[in-house]
Formats: sequence, C-alpha cells, structure tokens
Amino acid sequence: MEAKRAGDIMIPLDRYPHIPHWFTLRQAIAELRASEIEVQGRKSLPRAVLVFNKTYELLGIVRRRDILRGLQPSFLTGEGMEYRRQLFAVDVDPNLADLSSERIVRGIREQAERPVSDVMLPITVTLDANDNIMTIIYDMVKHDLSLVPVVRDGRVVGVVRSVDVLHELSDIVLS
Amino acid sequence: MRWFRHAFLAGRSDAEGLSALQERFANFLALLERNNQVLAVIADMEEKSQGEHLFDANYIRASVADMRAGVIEIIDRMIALGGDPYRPLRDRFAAIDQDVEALLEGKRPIPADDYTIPFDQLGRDRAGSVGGKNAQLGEMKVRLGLPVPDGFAITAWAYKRFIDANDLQARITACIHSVDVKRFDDLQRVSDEIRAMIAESLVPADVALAVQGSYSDLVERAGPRSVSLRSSALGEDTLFSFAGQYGSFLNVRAGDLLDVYRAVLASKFTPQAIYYFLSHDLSESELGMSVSCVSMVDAAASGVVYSRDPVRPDGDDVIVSAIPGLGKYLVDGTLTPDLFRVSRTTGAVRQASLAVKPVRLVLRPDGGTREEPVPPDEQRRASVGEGVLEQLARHAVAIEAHYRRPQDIEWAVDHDGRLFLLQTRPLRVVRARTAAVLPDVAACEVVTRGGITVSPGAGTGVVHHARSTEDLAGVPFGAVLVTPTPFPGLIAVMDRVSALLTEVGGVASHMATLARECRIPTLAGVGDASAISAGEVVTVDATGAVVYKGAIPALVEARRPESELFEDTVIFNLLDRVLERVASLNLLHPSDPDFTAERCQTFHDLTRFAHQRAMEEMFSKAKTLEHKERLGVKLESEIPLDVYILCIDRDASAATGRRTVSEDEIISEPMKAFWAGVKQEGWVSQALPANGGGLMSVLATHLSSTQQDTFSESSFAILSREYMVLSLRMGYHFTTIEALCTPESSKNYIRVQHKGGGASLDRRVRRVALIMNLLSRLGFEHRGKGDFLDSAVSYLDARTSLETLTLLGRITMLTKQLDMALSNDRIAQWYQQDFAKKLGLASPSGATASARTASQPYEPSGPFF
Repeated sequence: MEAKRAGDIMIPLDRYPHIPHWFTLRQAIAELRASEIEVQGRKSLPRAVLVFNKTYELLGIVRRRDILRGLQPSFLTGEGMEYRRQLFAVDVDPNLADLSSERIVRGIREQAERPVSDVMLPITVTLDANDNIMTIIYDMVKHDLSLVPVVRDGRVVGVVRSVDVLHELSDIVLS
Repeated sequence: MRWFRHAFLAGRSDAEGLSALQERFANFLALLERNNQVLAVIADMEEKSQGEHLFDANYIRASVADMRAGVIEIIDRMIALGGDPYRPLRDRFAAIDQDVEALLEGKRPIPADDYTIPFDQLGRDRAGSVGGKNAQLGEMKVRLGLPVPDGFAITAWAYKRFIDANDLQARITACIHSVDVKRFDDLQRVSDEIRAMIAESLVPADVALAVQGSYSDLVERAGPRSVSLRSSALGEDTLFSFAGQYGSFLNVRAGDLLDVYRAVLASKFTPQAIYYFLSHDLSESELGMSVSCVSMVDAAASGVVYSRDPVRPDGDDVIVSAIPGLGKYLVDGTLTPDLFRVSRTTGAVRQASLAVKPVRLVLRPDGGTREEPVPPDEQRRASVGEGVLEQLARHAVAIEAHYRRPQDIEWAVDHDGRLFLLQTRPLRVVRARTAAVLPDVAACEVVTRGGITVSPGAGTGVVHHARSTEDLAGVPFGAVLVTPTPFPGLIAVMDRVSALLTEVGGVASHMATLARECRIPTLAGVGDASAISAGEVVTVDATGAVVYKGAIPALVEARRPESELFEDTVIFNLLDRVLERVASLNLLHPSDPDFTAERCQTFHDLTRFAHQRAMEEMFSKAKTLEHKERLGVKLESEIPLDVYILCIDRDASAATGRRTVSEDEIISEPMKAFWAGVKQEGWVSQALPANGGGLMSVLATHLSSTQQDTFSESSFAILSREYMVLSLRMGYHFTTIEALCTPESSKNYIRVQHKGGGASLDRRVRRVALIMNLLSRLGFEHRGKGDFLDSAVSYLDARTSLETLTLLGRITMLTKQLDMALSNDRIAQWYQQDFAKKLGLASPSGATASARTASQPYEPSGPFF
C-alpha cells in the first residue's frame, strides 16, 4: 500500500476552528465547545484553536492546556504577589482555592477575558504537504506536538493531528 | 513645471470636489426640509378630511398651493443632486398638477356618450356623463334592486350637442362676462337673455330622435301616462352645491317633451346659478347638464327619508317626513310634513308627529300639476301607514350601507300603495361631536398615557410586538400591534390590526398616512410601548392618547370615527378628491420595479420617490468622492484607524490650517455617538504578540485578487453637525454608516452596509447574518444577498438615533473579522447570543430569533424608509 503523506492526512484549514488573536480565552472556549471535526466518518472534538492575525496569517495554536493555564486566577499563579515571593519565597498554596468559590468564579471570569495571544503556542514547526508519515511522526515526537501545520507552496493549507497519524498507523499495524 | 501644473490642477479639482459636495449636501438638506413640510401639509389635510375640524375651500386651495411650491422645490433639488435622470419628475408633476388644478376649478370635460341611456344601464360610475341624480337612480335600481320607477337619462353629451349645434357657447360666455355680478337686476337681465337664446334654439334632430326613441321604449316597457323631467347636473350633489337651483317639471306629456327638455337646460342659467359660477370661479361651459326622465308616479303620499337623524347620527332612528300628494310641497316648504322616527333595527315606529295638511299637489289629467284641498277628516291623519314606514327604514339602511354614508332619499307611494324611490344623495348631517358620549373610564387601569394621535379612534385587542417586517407574519387578526418605529412593512398588516402603537414617529411619516387611510387608530411616540406585555388585552384610545388595560368596547364605539358620517358635504367631497390626487401613496417599496419617476401619480409619490433617491444619491456621491485623503483632515485617535474627515458645514482644514483633527473637535453628533461606541469596545487587534509575524495561509486565497489588493485600514467620513457618512475599511471588511440625526424624527434615518471579509463565503455569510440579527433587534430592516447586507431604520428620535449609533460602533468593533471564527452555525449562534447579551439587546421576537445559517442565504426582506 502507498504510504500517505502529510497533505493526505491533514485536516483542511477551513475545517479547523480558528480565531483572531485579539479574541478572548472565553471565545476560544466557545469555539472548542461548538466545534466538531469529522474525518472519514470519525467525529472528535478539537483539542486546539488556530490563531490568526488580521491578514489571515497563522500565528499560533491555543491548546486546552494553554487555555487552562491562562484561566488560573492571578492569586493562584502568584503573579500578583511578587513581593511575597521575595519576602518568603514560597509557592502559593493551591488550597487557597477552597477559601471562596465565589472568588474563584470571579477570578476565572476575569482571566477568561484575556486575549488568546497571551497564552498561545507560537508555530515553531511546520510540515510540508509532501512529507511522509515517518517525517510526521519524527517531528511530533521530537517536539512533543500533537498538532502540526502543513504548508504547501508557502501557504498553510491544513493541520495534521497525532490522532489521525495513529489512525493511519493502526491500519498498517492491524491489517 | 509639469509637477507644479499637475499639483495646481489637482488642488483646483479638490476644491471643486469639496464645493460640489457642499452644494449637494445643501440641496439634500433643503430637500429633506421641504419633504417634511409637504408631508405636514398632507397630514393636516388628511386630518381635516376625518371630520374633526372645520375648513373651507380656501383652506384646500392654500394647502395645495403650499404643497405645489414644496414639490416644485423638491424636484429642483433632486435634479441638482442627481442630475438629468430625475428630469422626468417635472413632467409627472405637470401632469398631476394639471389634474389637481382641474379638480379645484371643478373642471370636468363633458365625456362623449350616447345621447340617452336607460336607467337599467346606469350606475354611479356613469355620474360623469349623466350627473349624480341619474347615476344614483340607476345604481339603486340595478345594483340594489330597489323600487325605482323606470326611466332614462338624457346625457350631458346631448346638452353639449345642443349648445354646439346652435352656436350658443360663445354667446353665453359673452353674456356672462358682461354681467355686473353685484347687481341682481343685471344677473336677472343676463339670465333672461341666455334663457331666451335657449328657448329660441332647436333641439338638434339627432338628439330629438334619441329622446323620443327612448321615450317610446319607456312607454312600451312601463306604459306611463307621463314623465317627470328633472335636472341631473354634472357636479350637482358632488362637488358643488346647486341643490334647488335647477328646474324640475312634473307630469310632462309626450308632445311637450322637447320643450320641457329645453326648459330644464335653460334652468342652468338662473340668476342664482350664474352668480354661483362667477363667485366660485367656475367655468360654466365645463358644467354639463344632464336630464333625468322618469315615469311619473301618481303619488298618494310623498316624502323624504333620512337614514340617520342628522343631529344625532349615532342614534337608532331613521327619520321619515311625509305629506299627502306630490313631494314638491314638502321640498319647497309649502306644507309641514308628518314626522316619523322609525327604528333602524326593528322597523317599528318610535314616534309620530302628525301635522295638519290642508292642501296637496296632484297631477292634472292634461299634464302639469294642481293644488287641491285635503278633505277635513284627512288633514290630521297620518300620510302613510306603518307598512310603508317599515319598508322605508329597511331601504334607507340598505342604501346607507351601500354608499357607506348617511343618505337623504326622496320617495313616493302611488294610489295602489306601491312605494317608489325617486332620488338619493348624501345626507348632510350636522356635526354633533357632543353626541358621542364617552364612557366613564376613570375606573379603568391605565397602561400608559401620552403619545401623538396619528390616526384617531380607539381599538381593542391582544398586544402583539413586532420589530421588523420579519415579525409580521404572525400578527393575529384584531391585534393591537406595538412596534419601535413606523416601518414601511406595516402596510402588510393594516387590514388585520385593530390599533397601532409605535415608540417613535409622528403624524408626518408615510406610515402615518397609510394608517389614516386605513382608519387604524394609531398612537406614535409612546415611549414605553415596548414595556406592554405581549398577549395582554388592551384598549388603545388613539384620540385621547391613553392605553387602558382590558377591553372597553363602549370607548371603541364612542371613538368610532365620525368622518363616515360627516365627510359627505360638498367641501369634504372636494377635499377627498384633491387628497386622492395629492396624498395617496402608490410607490410603497423602493425595491419594487414600479418605484420609478414615471409611476408617480400623486404629489406624495413624487416626494416619496425624491426622498428615497436623494438619500441614495447623497450616499453614493459621498462614497465615490475622489481625492478623499487630500481633501480630508486625519482624525487623531488612540484607535489605529486612519479616518479622513471632511466637514461640509465648514472647512475644518482651512479654519485651523492643520491636517489633523482631535476627537474633541468633532462636532458631528452622529459621528461622536458612533465613535464613542467604537472606543467603548476598543481596538484590540493592534496588540500583536511578541513573536511577530505569522505564516501565510490559504484563507487569504479565498479572496479574489482585487480584494487582496484592497486590504486597507484607511477610512473616510463626510460630516456635518447632524449628518455623517462613514466608509470604514477594516482589513477586508467594508462598512458604510450613514446617519441623519435632527430634532425632527421624521427626517432621521440610519443606514448601514456591510460587505466583505477575509474568510470563506460561508463564514462571511454567517457574520452578515449575525449582524443582521443584532440590527433587527434595533429595528433595522434589511435587504441584501450573500455577504452583502444593506440595513436601514428611520423615524427614530434624536436621542434614540444617537444611542443606536453608539451601539453600531460597538457592533462594528465586536464583529470585526468575526467571520474568521464562524466555522459553524453553532458557534455563530453562540456569538450572536453573547453579543446580544453584552449589548443589552432583546430578542426581536421568540419566533425569529434563530440565526439564519450559511445554508439558508436570506433574501431581500423588505423596503426601506
């Protein structure tokens, strides 16, 4: 059987959720929740949102974990307590979260209004549409990525997900 | 030298461009102002036509003169604004104006027709040929199947033939012009001269043949021994009151027919009638004389029945006057008649006031009439029995229902007891406003109070809210409809609603005109109307400007427009006819193919057309102005949009010598409001992440090459204190906002166009659908296709206009490049709800809140303004 290439495995760009970089974490969450990706009859929820600038250039990716990181209230991340860190140099106790659920909710809502550009993962690796499956696996493993943009003729045309690569491999392994 | 020359020429054309624009804008504002004045005149005339106020012929003439002047200026301004394509408006104006003038002068050319027409071929549509009396006899006989004696009309065309064949017109005109109108003896002299001329003239052979032929036919059909000949003048009982001025001849024998015909024609020239022509500036030659030739009823009793009590028109009574013998003695006041009040509903006699009738007029066996004494035992007896009275009441109610106005009907009963109707005409009832007793509403709970009475009356029904045309499909029959603005789509439900409430608007809108035409009780400017709960039953007292909780049928009845009862007098009739030619609106939807200059049929159509086109011309001229960047001054703002501003009130750059202007220096109210909304949301896309540039993507290849060329953030605004047109270019999006905000709501409007985007078409369409939904909540109506959306709202008051503009500024920022994110309908729905909540916009209505999706592209939904 003919080995598939990145251009065959990828999800075309317009079928993956994306968002302008000035949109908020809240809007990114809404995108994730409202989107569904269907590949060869297999449905899945997207794990990331692509981030573009106003001239439709791809800037980066916001993954679930990036959103979670961005949502932590500032009193938990400690960023608002720099002076304490200098005085006592201790980590902030996560049990602080138990003190007030109201405060937590308020804190998360505040953080959700941050732009996605604050937490997005810049694009460092791209694949060429002609790259074969081994190249894809190599890049994914080496850079610890589960989603890599695919470029053809100098333009991003889609993204390859690790789940789709695995699906390709499973055909080879199980057949 | 060459560059200098180029710069010089460019500078000159810049200045010309600016002054041309300023001139256009001045024309535009003047046109709007005039449009308002004309609409105000129309509104006033329509109000008068509803019978609430007194007026005279001079009022009508003065109003028409005001309107003419206004329409002439509107057309001049329109041509100045839009050029030659609008010249046909002048031809249309001339044609309409000629008709209106003809109406005011009472001019109606005598139509060519047969010389005689039997009654069974007549209806009221033939009044122009046979006069009102003949036409209504035909109408009653043929359409209503009522007992009318057989007969025929001798048409006005026969009269014209008579005058022409004898060369009378020039001589008559000369005589009339020689008269000293202030001297009755001179009038009498002229009258005698003209009548002598007519008496000496011969009835042309063809007319004589037609009259005698019709008479023979009549004798064959009905076998009368004799006929009556009465005038049925054109215009009599309709435009001008000639009642009682023309001749009537009873019991005419065959041999006298033509002589009597001439005598009836001559009666057109009594001294009173000549005085009337001259004092009313009428051209007598245009007023034809038709004659009614009716089988003579040998009357045992005669009289008149009024279908309403003229001073208590809301009562249940039909009023019958009756005398023994022929009716002439009743009409000329010789006898005091018996008076009967008969119930309209049951036909029972409620009251009888019997008079003493010592004499009566009867037919002479050899022709003509004679008076004879009434035997003493009959003098105090009722002239007619209850059976006849019951029949009269029934006929009167039927005729009133047919003509939709109270009637004054002549009747006679022959010696065999058979009833005949001899004439019907509108009953001129006395205005009796106090007759309508208002119910006591003190105990009724008031829902809201205030607003402007656009169309009087009261209506009750279930409250139904509609924000735009899309919401109208579900309006139930008899609803009280509540809308934010008097938007044009409302025409569609005018036949269904029992009352109309609008939050804004006034008496001069196009919709107000339609509401009055359709007699829908309408209140405008009810600020808190939107707070009335849907489904609640209320009673809208449009006349009193109060909305009550619950149904109050007595109030609805009491407020029932009295116009139906009072509009029948001569002067009302003239006003109605003039209104039909000046105030009816035939051009309704700008999107109709018929919305053209050539289709304008009234002054109102002309103003409507010019108003619409002027806005469009201003909009397109402003958008396509060249050298905008050089002409304008740049706005200094924290928002990184290059906005070049051109002030048409004053030359801002000349005043300051600067090339920039600060936000505080903007004096345009609409621009200030819009910009406040822009700043409230802020410009976030400038904060680029530290790592800078991104990867070119195929998304941009969705765009055509020309679109790629036009990525721009350079925008342009033309502003005055009350006006703005702003062309916003934000990336691949084009948004144009035009607004006029003045203290007069009827001038105000906001128009927004959205187009473009960088994402695929389905995403762009989702964005436009989302914007459309948000704008609908603000009362906008839309048209457009694909990713193009054209939305407008009008008649907002100044404050609401500015609030709407601020919201538009926010929506513009919120939806900037939103298409990128709208990968599916679910996410589009989420954004729509999220934005609506953020902006504090209620759903337009439960049924239509769902977003249109990319798979269901919308069609143009309705007209603008």
